[in-house]
Amino acid sequence: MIRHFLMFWIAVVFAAAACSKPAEAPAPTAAHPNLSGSWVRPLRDPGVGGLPALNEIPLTPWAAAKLKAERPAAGEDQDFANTTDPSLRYADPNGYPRISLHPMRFKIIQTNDYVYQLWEYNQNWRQIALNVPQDPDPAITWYGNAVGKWEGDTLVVDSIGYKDSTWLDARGLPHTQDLHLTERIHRMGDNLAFDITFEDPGAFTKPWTAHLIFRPSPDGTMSENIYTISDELRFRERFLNQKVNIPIRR
Amino acid sequence: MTVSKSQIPNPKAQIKRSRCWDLRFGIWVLGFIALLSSSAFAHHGAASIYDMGKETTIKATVTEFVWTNPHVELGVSTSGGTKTDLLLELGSPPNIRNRGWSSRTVKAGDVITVTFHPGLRGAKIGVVMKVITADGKELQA
Repeated sequence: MIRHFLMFWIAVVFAAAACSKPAEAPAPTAAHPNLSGSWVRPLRDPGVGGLPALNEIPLTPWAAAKLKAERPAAGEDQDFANTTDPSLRYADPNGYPRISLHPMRFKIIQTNDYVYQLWEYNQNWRQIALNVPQDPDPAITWYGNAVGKWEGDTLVVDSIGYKDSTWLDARGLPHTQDLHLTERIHRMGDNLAFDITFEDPGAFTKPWTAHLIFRPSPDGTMSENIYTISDELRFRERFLNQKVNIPIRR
Repeated sequence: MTVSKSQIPNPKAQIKRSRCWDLRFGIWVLGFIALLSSSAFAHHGAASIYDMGKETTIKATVTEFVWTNPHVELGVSTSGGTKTDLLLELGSPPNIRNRGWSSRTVKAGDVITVTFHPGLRGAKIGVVMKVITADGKELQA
């Protein structure tokens, strides 16, 4: 009796273990190009494209005024000490696509149902759900709601639902909560290309497109590089002699 | 002695494998260069804090070495003391790790030679270009 009782519970434990084993992610089918790997868009590399010059972006009067009022931490009119850059002033997430302009690498993991983009900087990530309709009223988030589908060799990604407090780049390019991005992601030789079309009636008078090229990067272990508001305040107190309103720590 | 077909070297396959390795090696080199070229200034522009047209080289005693974001901090004393009288920044931890640094590369008490862009308006800060450690190792920041 006791032996049967024990065997029953051993069987239950094994069955539970088998059921709780995580399902393996389906590998991408060979029908589509493999975008997986690590990619980087290094600074000082003239071949990696970028967002257009500000005078080539069709800003609405609201966007032009907002841009003029910002104080970026880098570039021609930089004012790091008094910057209004939310990713420095508050250590906010960079948002999309600004995170892709950061010179640290990202990794793409591709399955049949999702494409995941993992950024080394701040361990941020987004998911692109494949072959599902866009949610007409998604949650408003730092990295938006992205859905994608394959058109031949190109992954076409549609995304909305972006929080409007982020800058689109380090220059302070603004957007509203109605930002709509259409991305065409494809291999270009050894490189990976993102052609991104920006639509946002509140910020732009007509759609415009940016071309970003990413180089292959060694596909090893990603390093941790998490940057927080305490890091920023510590830096400001120590290097800029600025008073901060909370005690800094290591 | 018989030799199976699979044991006969296939020159075309070897050339193909060799090209494949060349390509892989090229990608790694390209990636490594890309990592190295990641600037210390992704966090902030340098021109509003440092005199980027000026380089200063000094021999100094390390007072602190803090492995932190956004930039690793190196405090030094120019008089051989233990109090920081010049605070220097390096790149972010992962960036300088790719250049051969670790959190134990230098420690308080080490005498090093450091080259840096000094702070503007006489500020006792700087951004490091390179360091020669106590044991003679030269590292870019």
